[in-house]
Amino acid sequence: MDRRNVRKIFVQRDYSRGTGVRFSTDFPRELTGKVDETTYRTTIENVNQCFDEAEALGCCNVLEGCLACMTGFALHYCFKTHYERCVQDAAKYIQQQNREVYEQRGIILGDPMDRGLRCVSTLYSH
Amino acid sequence: MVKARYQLIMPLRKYQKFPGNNRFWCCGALMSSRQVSILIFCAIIIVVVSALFFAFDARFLVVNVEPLGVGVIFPVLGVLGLYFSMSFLFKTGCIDSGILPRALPDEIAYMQSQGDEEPAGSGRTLGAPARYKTVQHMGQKVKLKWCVTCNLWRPPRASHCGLCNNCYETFDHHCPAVGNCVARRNYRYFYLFLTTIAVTGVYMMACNITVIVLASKKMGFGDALKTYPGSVIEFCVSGLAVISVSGLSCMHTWLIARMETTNEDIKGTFNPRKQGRTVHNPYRRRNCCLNFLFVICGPFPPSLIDRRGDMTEEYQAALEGDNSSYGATSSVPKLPPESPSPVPPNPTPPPLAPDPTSEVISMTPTASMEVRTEGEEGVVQVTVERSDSSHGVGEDETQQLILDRAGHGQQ
Repeated sequence: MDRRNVRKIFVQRDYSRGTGVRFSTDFPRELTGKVDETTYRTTIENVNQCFDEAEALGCCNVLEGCLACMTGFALHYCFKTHYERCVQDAAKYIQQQNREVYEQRGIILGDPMDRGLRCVSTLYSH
Repeated sequence: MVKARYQLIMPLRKYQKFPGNNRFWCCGALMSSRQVSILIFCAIIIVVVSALFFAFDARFLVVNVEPLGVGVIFPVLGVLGLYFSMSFLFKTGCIDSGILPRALPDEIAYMQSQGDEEPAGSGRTLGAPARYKTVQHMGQKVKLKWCVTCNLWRPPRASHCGLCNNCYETFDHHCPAVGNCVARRNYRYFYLFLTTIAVTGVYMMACNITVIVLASKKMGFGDALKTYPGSVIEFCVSGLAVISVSGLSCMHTWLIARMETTNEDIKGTFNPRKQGRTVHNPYRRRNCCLNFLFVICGPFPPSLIDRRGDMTEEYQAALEGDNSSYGATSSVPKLPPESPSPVPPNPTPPPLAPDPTSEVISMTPTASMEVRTEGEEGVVQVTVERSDSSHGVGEDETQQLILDRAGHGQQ
């Protein structure tokens, strides 16, 4: 990728379903012709699912929270939280997608954690 | 004779140049607001009262409560009360409570180019008008406000704290007593701290009364007070704590049942009388129990500010710019290199004449060093990779060592 022709776009958060972490699946017009719209939407939706799982009030999460509460939250000094594991899963998934799908099309998706979960930075060659 | 002197310049960590009004401890691992004197005072009071309890009341109750052996439960409950109080106080006051990191210049420029904000309101005459954009949020339209300090569209329920100069997720209030803002990441610890102090305070007062009553049976009320002054001091201090904290604890219990923050309660965000009959709180769950479950045992979001990450040139430039922007970790994903790196993988250090006056810099175990020389002026570039970076940054950093060969001639 020629660094002189690299442009950036930032996929913003989607607050329609709540304050949870969710990124907009609207296809950016700058990527038209570079990547298939369905592929792109699937990628962003899978990232959103990682964060949905992180913030869900499931049995495992509640049990983890109760156990942590009973230990005065000292448990978190020893183990990673479910949310942190989901964030790492999202980052690994994005790296895998970059490797397999996007880099050969001249696009790189950034880890949203690098931007404080404000957006997903996307670099593409112009 | 060549005299070599190495001066190692370590890169800064991001917390050392953090733009908010925060104080960092333990090399960026802990953080709080600037004013922590009341937090330290609260911690000292808890420890002193607990010490008096264990020194006097617990010993008396273990010996004098019938049947013998049951009295052991008093110091055990005291230890639990002390442990949970200090743990929750520490977690409330010494962690990142949900700061939203400031945007970087490339992001700001992109968002400003989008032009999705509404025209400025006509009511304001002083300074720049506030910028808003309307988004769909849980079935209703909400206005997101542009934060001019943090350069981002504030998410719903977020607010900017003027004292700490940061935007916080699900902002509740700034609490001087714990020396930190109470927001998404530490609200549960704050609420549990209040509840624990209220319960432990009542327990201490009950133990003090028990000690005085049992002692009065042996020696009279006046003598009992003179013999056990610790119990009197504890009773007074615990009483004051219970009076001040229990009201706050009840208020937050009510707020959690309604799933509102203090900020929303004060502003009347979900008050039908202020906002109109159509407004409702979309964050409330099916019942109060689920609200409590979510707040106390719900997800534990990680800190979004990369306090211990290395300061890069991009962030340094952003801090020095007009916007004083600051972001999280590496903002730019690594592009595939266009050409092979000119630095050989394991270059050997340049041969130097042996000089007893040259300084030897010891490297930390977490850093590795590669050295190469350029030219005859002795500019040595050293690449140091820090292995303890968070968020998997993995970007190599370049440090510059200055080799001083002037003043002593060359051989």
